[in-house]
Amino acid sequence: MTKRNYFFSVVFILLITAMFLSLRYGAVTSKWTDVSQALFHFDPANQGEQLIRYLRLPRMIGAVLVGAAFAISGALIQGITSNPIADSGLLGINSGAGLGLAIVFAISGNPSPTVGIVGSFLGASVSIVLIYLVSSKVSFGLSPIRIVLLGAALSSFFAAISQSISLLFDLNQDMTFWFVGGTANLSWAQLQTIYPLILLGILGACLISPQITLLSLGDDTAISLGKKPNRIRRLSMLIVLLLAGSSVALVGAISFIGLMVPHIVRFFVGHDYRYVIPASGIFGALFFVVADVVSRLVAPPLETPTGVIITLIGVPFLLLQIRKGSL
Amino acid sequence: MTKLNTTDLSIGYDKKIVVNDITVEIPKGQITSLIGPNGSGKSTFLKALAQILEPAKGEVFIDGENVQRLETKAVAKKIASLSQTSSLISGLTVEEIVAYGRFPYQKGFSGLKEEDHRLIGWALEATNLESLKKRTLITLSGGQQQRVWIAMALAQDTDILILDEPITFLDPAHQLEILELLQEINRHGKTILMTIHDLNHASRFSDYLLGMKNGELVFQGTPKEIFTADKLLNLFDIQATFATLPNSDKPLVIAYDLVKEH
Repeated sequence: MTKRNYFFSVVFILLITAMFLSLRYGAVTSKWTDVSQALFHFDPANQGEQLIRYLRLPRMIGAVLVGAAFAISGALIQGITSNPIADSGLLGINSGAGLGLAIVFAISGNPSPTVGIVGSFLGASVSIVLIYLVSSKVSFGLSPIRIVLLGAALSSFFAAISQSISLLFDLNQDMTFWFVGGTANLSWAQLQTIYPLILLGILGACLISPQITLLSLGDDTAISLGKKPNRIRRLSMLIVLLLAGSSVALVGAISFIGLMVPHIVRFFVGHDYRYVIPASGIFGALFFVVADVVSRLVAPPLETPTGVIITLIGVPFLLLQIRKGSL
Repeated sequence: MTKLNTTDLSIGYDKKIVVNDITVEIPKGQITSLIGPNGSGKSTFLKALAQILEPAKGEVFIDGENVQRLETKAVAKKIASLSQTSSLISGLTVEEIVAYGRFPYQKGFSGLKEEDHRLIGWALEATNLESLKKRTLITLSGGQQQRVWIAMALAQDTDILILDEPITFLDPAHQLEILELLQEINRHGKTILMTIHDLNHASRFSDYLLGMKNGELVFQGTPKEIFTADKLLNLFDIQATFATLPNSDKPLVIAYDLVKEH
């Protein structure tokens, strides 16, 4: 078996295991019989099964989707901007989406999931358009570091506005969760609205993945092989919008997954995006599910926001990569 | 065999015209070298031929069809073009890069077919890369990397191969290795058009030469017709002395001097 297949098989098995563990473990440890009952012969009157069916199951599915979505959008942005430090969080896309959400909350008080998504998409698209405009002017010699600096500036700017809005409109309770990020409030209603968008984004990313590799060989090479680079970039940005916008609407502005996961998977599957994209998806899902379980077990019965756990791992990872000189 | 020609082709960046009014037909099945001083518009001209740049005026024709009206993918099946890629860093393996040469022929997620594998294998073999095919591009030397790009272009299976300065950053032995490879490819019936700075290599390895200066095509002809004192003086402002080896009709420049302005 090749290293690549080996990686996919092992991660797949780990992911399935983690998914089941996340149904069982939390502030209360459930019995395996409850888990299987809740999944296959759900009895709405049983409290233990209710916990699993109504709280942990949507949370687990959400974690899988969002982990995959953040990781894939990170891989896409890294590919189209030729920037190894790119990530939807670091580039300000997530906080743009967060600002969109804050505005929607300020206006409507308690928005439906659909309205929330629209706000999140609009906010994310502002950041995406800015990043696209800047990074497509490669002739200015814009280095990866500068793009990240721009992203950091956007990020803090949007976060500051979001927080001002939440203070002004007294939204602190509603919004805190989106600022730090977490799966605690995930409901079936939200999932139902958002999962088709994420699945569509993942499908789009897989379809466009060979063209991302072409782009990584340089614009002229891409044209010589029959593709228009700017069309690839625009389509990819649209997919990033779909993935990052939906994910932020579900779990808030979580950074670093999109940065870390593609780097880790490249070590196992190589640099062809035909493999980097699906591998990032499956590994991102595993990462998020595990982080989510950990977030429940750190200080039960209190929840440590998943975003905090991920940032705690993400920052040292970023520093380590910079030290190694690989970024 | 595919015919490539231009009529009144002008190309510019923003308002500045870099290539001016070139009408030329690239000889089929031959090796043609484009020579001229730095900044004369050679690379720009090649990019317009390969549909990478849009002409400001005039047309490029592939088999009589205007390139601008053709799909990028259709052009990719007729012309393979290599730009000056020496600076690209990629973690892709040799085999992966060469396989991407088959990209214009792939539909959706169909993957590689028998024919694709055959051409990839042939391209790796012709460029002597079989033993390196699992290595990543970044671990290879400049000459090896250049061979990878040529292999990718070969896998693209086009009649016409356009190369921008394929030997500029290579040492003498590797220069010769690449040029002999191109000669070998040419014998398989491919038309080759390249830019090259070394005049003696241009003479030795080309059937036909195009001389460009200040965006204009100042002459064209066989090396024997072009390598004359007045033509090289006109093109490069150099005074050249020539010699021809026995059994060869390709002149060599044995020495040259700058023209002093008085």
